[in-house]
Amino acid sequence: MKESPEPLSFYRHLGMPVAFSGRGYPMTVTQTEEYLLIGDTHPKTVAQIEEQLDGLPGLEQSPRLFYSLSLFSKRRPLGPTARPVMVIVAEHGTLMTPQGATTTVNRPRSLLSRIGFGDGRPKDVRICAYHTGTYHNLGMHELPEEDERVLHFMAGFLSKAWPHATPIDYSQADTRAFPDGDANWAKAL
Amino acid sequence: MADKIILRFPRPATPTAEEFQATKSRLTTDTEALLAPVPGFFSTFAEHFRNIRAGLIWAAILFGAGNLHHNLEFLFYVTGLFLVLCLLNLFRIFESLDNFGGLRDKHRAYYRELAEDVRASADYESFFELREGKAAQRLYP
Repeated sequence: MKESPEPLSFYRHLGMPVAFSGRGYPMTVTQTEEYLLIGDTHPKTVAQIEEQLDGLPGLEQSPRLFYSLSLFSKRRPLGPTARPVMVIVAEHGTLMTPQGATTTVNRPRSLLSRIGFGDGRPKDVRICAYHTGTYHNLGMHELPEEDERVLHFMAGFLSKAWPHATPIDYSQADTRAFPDGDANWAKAL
Repeated sequence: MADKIILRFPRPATPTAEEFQATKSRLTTDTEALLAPVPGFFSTFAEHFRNIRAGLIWAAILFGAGNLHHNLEFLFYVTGLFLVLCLLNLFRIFESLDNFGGLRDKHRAYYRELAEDVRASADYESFFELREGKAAQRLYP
């Protein structure tokens, strides 16, 4: 059994979020011994970016994506041609249960958020993972309330989606957050 | 006036190992083999030609109905509206002819690059890495 999954092919998953395509705070980069983790807020899908390159923004139907975490393996060269080995995404979803349906809704907003500062934060989201040509639905989960915990929460699904993958070791991890998606991460790495 | 029609070239997924081998053997006999399937004019604007045809059919139906009775003569004016819609569609196609040229260029450029990559790669693994690396470079901001 392989220890690390193969890098993903973008054009086989047109609905997959692309790393570095998110907007707003936080854009998070974490380096561990094995992986480089890129966390995006409101990422764009491959189809949406293709559409923008064609000069047609905003017409493509796509799922509502809240957060994505792209894992790049450090065993392969990192650079502009690097592809993630796994992408974990928190998206809008619905779970049908005998008690009724649970659909993604926003958390109750704070006073500042209610008068226009900050965004609404989703509460229950569907967690999905893309790796080695497959797309896993990992079920509905409640997102943590703090931004700082979202990255660790999503990285926790690595072992669920790919039990044989090398686990993320946070003991030597170097995490940085960037206030915008303007590629400032590249200067800092 | 009507907007130009933006023509998109949907980029296909990276060819599989079988497709790669088939393409490689085709390219040994004919170096221009991949340049054949350029989208045709009528298939590219098929949606707009369908709109024109539907407009003409409705115009004919209304014109026929207008002939039934002199109280229905107002339908001749409605016929005129449908004919104007047909003309608008036709103008949009004329306006977008340079976009059609752009689409053909995009299509040709994609398949020319694919042929170069197939010829340059010794095995499927190196070809796959090369193509996917280019796709990643294209998509990252």
